[in-house]
Amino acid sequence: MRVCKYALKMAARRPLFFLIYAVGLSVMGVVMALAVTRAEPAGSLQDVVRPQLEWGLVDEDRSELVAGLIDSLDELGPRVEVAQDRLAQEEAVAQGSVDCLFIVPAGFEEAFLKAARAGESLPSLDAAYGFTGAGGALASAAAERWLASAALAAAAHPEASAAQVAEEATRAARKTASVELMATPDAAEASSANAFTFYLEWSIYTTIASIIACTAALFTTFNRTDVRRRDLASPLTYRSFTLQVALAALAVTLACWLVSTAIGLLVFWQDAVALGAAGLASTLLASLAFMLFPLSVSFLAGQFGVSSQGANALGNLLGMAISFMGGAWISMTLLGPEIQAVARFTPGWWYTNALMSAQELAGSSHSAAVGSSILTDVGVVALFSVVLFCIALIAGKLREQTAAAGGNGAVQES
Amino acid sequence: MCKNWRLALLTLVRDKNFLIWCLGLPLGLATIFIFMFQPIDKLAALDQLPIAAVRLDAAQAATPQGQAYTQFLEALGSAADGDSGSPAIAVSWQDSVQEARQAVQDSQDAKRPFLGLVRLSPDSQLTFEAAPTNDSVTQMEQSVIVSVCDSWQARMDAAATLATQDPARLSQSSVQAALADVAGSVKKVSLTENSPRETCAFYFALLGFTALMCAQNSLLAALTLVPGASACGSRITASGQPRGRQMLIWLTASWTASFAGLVICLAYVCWAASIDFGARTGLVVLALAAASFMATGLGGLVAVAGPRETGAKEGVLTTVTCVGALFAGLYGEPVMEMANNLAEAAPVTAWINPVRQVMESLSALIYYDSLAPFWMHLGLVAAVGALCCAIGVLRLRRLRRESV
Amino acid sequence: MNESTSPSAAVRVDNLVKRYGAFVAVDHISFEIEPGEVFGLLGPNGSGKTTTIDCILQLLSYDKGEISLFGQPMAPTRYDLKRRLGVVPQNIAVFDELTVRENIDYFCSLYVTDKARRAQCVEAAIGFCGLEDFAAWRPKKLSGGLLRRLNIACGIAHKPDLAFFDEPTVAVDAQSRAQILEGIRVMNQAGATVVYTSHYMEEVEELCSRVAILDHGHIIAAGTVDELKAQVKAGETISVELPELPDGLTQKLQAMPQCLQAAYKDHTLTVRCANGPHNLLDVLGVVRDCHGVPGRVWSQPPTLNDVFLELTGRELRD
Repeated sequence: MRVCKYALKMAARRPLFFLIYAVGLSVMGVVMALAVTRAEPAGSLQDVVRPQLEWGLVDEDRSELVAGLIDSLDELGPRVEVAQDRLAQEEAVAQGSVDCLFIVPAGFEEAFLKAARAGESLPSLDAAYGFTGAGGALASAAAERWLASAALAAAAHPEASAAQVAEEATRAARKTASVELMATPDAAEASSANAFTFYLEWSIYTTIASIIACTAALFTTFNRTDVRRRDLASPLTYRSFTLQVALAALAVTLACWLVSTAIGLLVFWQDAVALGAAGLASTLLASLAFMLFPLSVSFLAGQFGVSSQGANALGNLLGMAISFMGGAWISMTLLGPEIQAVARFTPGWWYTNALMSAQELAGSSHSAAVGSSILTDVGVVALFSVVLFCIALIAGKLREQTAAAGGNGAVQES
Repeated sequence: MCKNWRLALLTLVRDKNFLIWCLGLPLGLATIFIFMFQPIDKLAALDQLPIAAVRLDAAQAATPQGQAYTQFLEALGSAADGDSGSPAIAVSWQDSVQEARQAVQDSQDAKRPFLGLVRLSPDSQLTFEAAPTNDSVTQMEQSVIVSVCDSWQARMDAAATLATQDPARLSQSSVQAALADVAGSVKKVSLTENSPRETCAFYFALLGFTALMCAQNSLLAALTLVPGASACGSRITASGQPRGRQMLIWLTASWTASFAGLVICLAYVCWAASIDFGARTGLVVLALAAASFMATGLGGLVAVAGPRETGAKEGVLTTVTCVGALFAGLYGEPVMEMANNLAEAAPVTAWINPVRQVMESLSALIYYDSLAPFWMHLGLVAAVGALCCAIGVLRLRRLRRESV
Repeated sequence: MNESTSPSAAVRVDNLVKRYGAFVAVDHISFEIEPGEVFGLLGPNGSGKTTTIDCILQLLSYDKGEISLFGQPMAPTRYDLKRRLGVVPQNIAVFDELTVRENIDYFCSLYVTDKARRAQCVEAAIGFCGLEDFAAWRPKKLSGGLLRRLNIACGIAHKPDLAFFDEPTVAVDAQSRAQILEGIRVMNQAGATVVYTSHYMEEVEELCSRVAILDHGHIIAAGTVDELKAQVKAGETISVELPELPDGLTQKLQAMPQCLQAAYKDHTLTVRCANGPHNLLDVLGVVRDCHGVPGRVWSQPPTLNDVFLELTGRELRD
């Protein structure tokens, strides 16, 4: 085990490298999780009747009618103040600060009332949509609804003032259609987000990148040409040598995992406790199993002699891809079925499944079934690592030169 | 000097680090992003909203409310055009509530499932039954239907009240016109050159991330000038060539290599993700030149002022890049939201973040009429690059004399 | 080369061929090394020396041939044979993260598992290579010569029966070189067989009992140093300082039967002669007859470079 011991010694003599990758990127994962409030779509009636939008309105008319419209739009969600200048308006929609920006031209109230009372086409106000057409359409539909009521009130009461028309429109707009949620036999229970779980999910990228970088540095050290020649020429079997280096890399991986998990537990201890003993244990088990994946990737890359820069780049690429496929960046439900199908062939998908299931363990009445599901997911995650590790061993064996030709080819292994 | 510069450039682009940091990683990430964001772009674009509607029986259909219901739904399907604020709604008539519910459930596996069903009760109460979903975009679309239904219900109730209180007014042409008008008060406009796309911000953040990753290549170029860092560094330092010329050659060669990598990456992203800068393509090139200049400066600075070990220097650059990308919102929607909120609350965090500045300079080009924001962001990027270059150059000159 | 197949040979290479695509790096070479020998593999850069060593060590596969060590066929999995080998590669192969003592301990541990014995071996290797004052230093702080000594210490700490030194004195100062060569002699006297590759003929002449000369993957000559020198016509080279070249001197010298070549450059007359007992007297006699005024005179016996030059038409260091 001398090779392992010295490999660990060499790893320990590069503390800056470890600190930057393992600690630095873990802290980044904490910042991500802390700063983000994730509203889990719960599929409830409230989400259909009262979705939250961000809207803005540039009022060039400054009339009572428009004031009534603004009051009615408050039900959509918070109003974002947008300055009158063109650049501010462009910024608001381009950066997605608003789902919809209304621009009411000057003279709108007068033209609107006149047209409504004459039975002519109504003047329109402009609506610039943000990122999603649906958000913009919803805000527009809400404005249309109120304006339709205002037009009717104006037509029905020609003598009414603008303020009275606005009041009547607001009163009429309170009359709504009924909304019901269609029941389905297998409607899933809504689960609320757990910040610690969320941190682990978001940390997929940072932990993959950090583990691959830290362990690849170790493999690169032993892959230097003449050092490798010396090691191969020695009586230490290649298998023993490789496994010892892998063991040292496993220790480095565990250190990275401990750092990452400890930081998460420290910051999100309340949410970790809320998981319950079984939930927390399952979460940590899943996390531990997942850590083996970047280790096996790094090990495989090491068998092919990938440089430390190459491994660093690989860690970044793979980290992003796996975290995306696990649904950390964007909800999987928003992605096409093809992407969802491919995601099942990545460990991130199974890992986040296990994390979500672990969340449900505490309050679930089917804990045995949930537990079994978690173990299955963890097993699949571990399987990815095992398969890659086996491929790496075979690749390493093939890379090791053999005297297959001539007279020496007949020599049997002693 | 030109020959030296050419050879320096050749050395840099033949190095596998160039392939990794300036081409491989950004193109790989861009490809992942394209797969990730394609469905989101499709979802963001508002298609027709499909619903099922329950046909009324003959008796109810003959009533004024029944007629209004039927006309309302038939008008919905034909009313919308591209400029209206109201979206197109595709109505599929079903003969009964049960059939409508079945049609909604059966459609859930289709590409565009029904959002729900609409029915009118005998007491003229319009009801929308929403199909169950956890998808926020679908919920938003269902809310649109609800809002349209609310509008109809409000007008019907107002008409009923008017019929009771003042039937003469109900028959006035203006009132009838107001009752019949389905849409037209809100006109959809575009304030920006191109329609806002949420995914563009991610692509631009990726380019900012790529620019900073190019600094890894610049780091290695700068290390060539550090005497103790490599045998070549010692050779070059001890040569007869003036120090200033050495730095100019290697740093401009590094700048050129990074710039070339960024241009290739941007071209790929624009082609694959259909991003068009139109007449401002020349300014995009300028933005990339500034971004690669910033990368050169940053790589040079870390080379001379960072930790001694090359691996640790690379780690510093990687961390700076990842943190910069975090606060530019690269890592998904919630992170983008966080980054935007932070930039609004504390603009200085955005000013000092080169990844964000690159992202915002490209966003400014594609969306805003005025070029003022673009020049401001470009200036900030160039300023960061100039500052890093200045510190790096001063330190490099000192390193000629100090022992390492 | 040596047709007799000695069963107790430390190394036996028979008809070894190694190709890299169409390029033949080692072309049907055969040789034997007796136990206790210092065997030299001499040749210019690119002649196949390191490739041959790598094949013997089973670090490279080869296309044809048989290799035996200590009378037993060699294979990558013959760890019992590997335990008796030591390798000092051409490039420095140590870990920058470990100190001198730790590096030696690490590589020794690959051969010696007993902790106490290994500790003794490490200390002995440190002393043997003169690294006592630098045992706690890291490789980055060592000079080129010390690095080479560390490189050697890592290869021989476990006291191998057969040690391969692949150009161990490249870029080393004269003092360190002398120490390295002395150390190898001591090792050999203690019973180790040494295979020494180099393109420095002076070292090989000084150190090796037998030499094989390689060129383009072939062994073009082999034997003891004296045997090799006896194979070529060139005997001694006589140099005479002459302020002026007398008329007709060069022609008269070239007319001498034992004169192979006569040239005058930089006030020095250089005459290469075939083997003969009176070359110096004969040359000085001709100079005197031509009224030349000789200054310093010196004679140089033939070198392996002369051997190589005669066999290939090129200098060893071309």
